[in-house]
Amino acid sequence: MNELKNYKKGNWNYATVERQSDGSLLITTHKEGQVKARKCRVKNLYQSNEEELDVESGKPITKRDKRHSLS
Amino acid sequence: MTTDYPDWSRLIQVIGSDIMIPIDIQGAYIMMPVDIQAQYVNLNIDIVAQTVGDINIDIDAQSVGIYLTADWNVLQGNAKSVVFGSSNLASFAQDYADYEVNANKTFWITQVSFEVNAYASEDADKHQMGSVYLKNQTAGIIFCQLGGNGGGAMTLTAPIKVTAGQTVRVVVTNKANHAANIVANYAGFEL
Repeated sequence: MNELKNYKKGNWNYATVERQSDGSLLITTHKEGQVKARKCRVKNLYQSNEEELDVESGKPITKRDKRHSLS
Repeated sequence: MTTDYPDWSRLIQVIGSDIMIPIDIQGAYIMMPVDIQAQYVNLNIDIVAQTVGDINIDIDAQSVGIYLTADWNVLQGNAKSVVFGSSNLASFAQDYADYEVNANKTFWITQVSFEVNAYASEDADKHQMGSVYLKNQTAGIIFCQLGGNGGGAMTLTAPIKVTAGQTVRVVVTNKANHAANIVANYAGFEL
């Protein structure tokens, strides 16, 4: 599942949401029983102009990148 | 073995592995001592009465667990905690983050806390005033608010109930006279 969709679905127990210098939010979620936390970065969360960004670079994820990021 | 009484009533002793006895008692006074000795007992009781007197329960078992709802939900993996951090927030500026409760879920918020730290080291020993509030962004109403110097915490004895489709917004405000880092947390359980 896409990391941002995972946050929105509430499929986690613990979430850390950090405001970044570019105004985006870095969201880290963890569900009990899972080894690794999951991360996503988003601008304008829940807004009509919501945009998912690459966690490291902060650049917008293109549609092609999104297909590859599905897990 | 049965024993007859002078009034023609009889003592009944039933020995069996599967017994169902539907009983419809219509009387003014009933005394029914029951001694259940079994590995598993399902006891469904539906009491419809104007008044119910004392109910004395004597549980004598190897282990009996009674959990508070919040504790039980943590045990069941329903714990929910959101930490929101905003760095270098200007004096009297606000920041927020949203979480929309998913369909078929209800989020019960049981605690709120926040912490304020100076962004620059030269402001570290000054007052670190700040506040946090939780808002139902969908309904446009504030659930609760909390303020303090350096931070604060509040345990909600009556949990906040957020139903499916409602958005929880946590809003932090830097009320210090300098830039600050503020971290807020709200937590509870979702099921």
